[in-house]
Amino acid sequence: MSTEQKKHHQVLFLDDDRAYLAAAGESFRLLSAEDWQLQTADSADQALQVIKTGKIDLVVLDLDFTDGDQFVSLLHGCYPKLKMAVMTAQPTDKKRSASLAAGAGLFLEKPVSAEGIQSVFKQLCELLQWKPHNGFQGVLRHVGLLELVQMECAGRNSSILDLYREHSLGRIYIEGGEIIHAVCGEIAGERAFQKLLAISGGTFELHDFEQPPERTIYRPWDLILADTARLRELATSQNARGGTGGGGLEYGSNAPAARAMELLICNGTGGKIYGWECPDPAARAAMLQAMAQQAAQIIPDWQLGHFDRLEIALADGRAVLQASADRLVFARFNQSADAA
Amino acid sequence: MKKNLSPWLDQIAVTDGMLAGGVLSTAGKCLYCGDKEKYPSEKIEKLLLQYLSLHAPLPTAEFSPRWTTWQFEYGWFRFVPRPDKLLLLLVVTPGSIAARELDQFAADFLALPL
Repeated sequence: MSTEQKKHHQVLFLDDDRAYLAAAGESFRLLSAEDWQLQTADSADQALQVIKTGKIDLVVLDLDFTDGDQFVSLLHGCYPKLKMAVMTAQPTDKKRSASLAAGAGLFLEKPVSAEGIQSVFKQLCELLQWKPHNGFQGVLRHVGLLELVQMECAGRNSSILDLYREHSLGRIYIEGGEIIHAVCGEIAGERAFQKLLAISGGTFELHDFEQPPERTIYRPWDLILADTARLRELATSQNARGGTGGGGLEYGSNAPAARAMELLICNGTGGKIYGWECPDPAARAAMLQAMAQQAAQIIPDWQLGHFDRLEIALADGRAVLQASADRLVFARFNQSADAA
Repeated sequence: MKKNLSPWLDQIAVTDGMLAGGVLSTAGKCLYCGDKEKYPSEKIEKLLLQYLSLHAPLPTAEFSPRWTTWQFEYGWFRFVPRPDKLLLLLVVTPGSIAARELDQFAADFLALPL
């Protein structure tokens, strides 16, 4: 038998409802197969005493607790690398934005059922496995890099993202949640950023922030990422129609005049990861899940491999609904008259 | 079923990458094209009849589709509903000539005088 001790995750739950703390604590401990060592606190002071020990990996706190957002902000300021998830019984977009802006890594609806607790547990596990600083490496997947940039921006983090495929491909600078500079070969600015985000395959590393040699990007990050999603869709459809040569998509005057109108990215259970101009994320998420179920009914009859997406041609543009085991994506684009 | 629909369907059926296709009328009658051994008419008809349930999750007020494409790894299904309730289904290989021509086929079907 090995004498090496398994490292347990130290998770602190903060909630002023002691009965909930006891019940949820026990549920999460069992779900983690006792991998989580749970601590609980029913006041901010008590929580701070525990956090000061420096041993906590994740704090899960009730947002409806007095001054929840301010406490998240305070913790983020004092412990920028501490992972935090906030839960609330009454989630709204406003609360979500405020919590993520304050430094929370996850915003969740407080679970009231066994299924809900399992879903929340899965998301907390993902957050625990997230390693956003110093030498973190990952393999680029379909939405992996986009998601990473979103998390850095939504968390108002400062970091440098290096991308590799055999050799260095480029670098993205994020300061206080804003994308401020990107370089890809001899190209800099948003065009470089879009080229890097169009790469499939390769690896990335996230490092602590250093000032870039210059600032080349000034637009808000959510607009830049909406354009990224739009360009990715265009690249996919161009490749399907015979391709543009496969060298990534140029960002500039060659792009057809389609405009992103709406974007929603959810995890596999419909939990919102990122939304932009999305009027009803819950309804969209339900639609995505229903679509995935419908697609699953086609698969046994036709044996045409896994489902990728549903494209809908609309009178004034198109919508793309994409479903995989761990991601649901909804994007809507308007097509201007000259591009139609 | 309208007379000039069948020749049009036969004509597009020979496009490289076209796996199967069919048109469903309001009376429930079907026309088919494609490899009947691999993709028998029952399969096409079943999918055409599934159209409403497949698209039920889409809120009709916002998403009144000109056409829809369900994209799977090795095959794409293009559904094109006409205002006169005829419904076209084309099954194509991704990346093929037929896949590239899907928009044109859909536009032709919508404009076909019947």
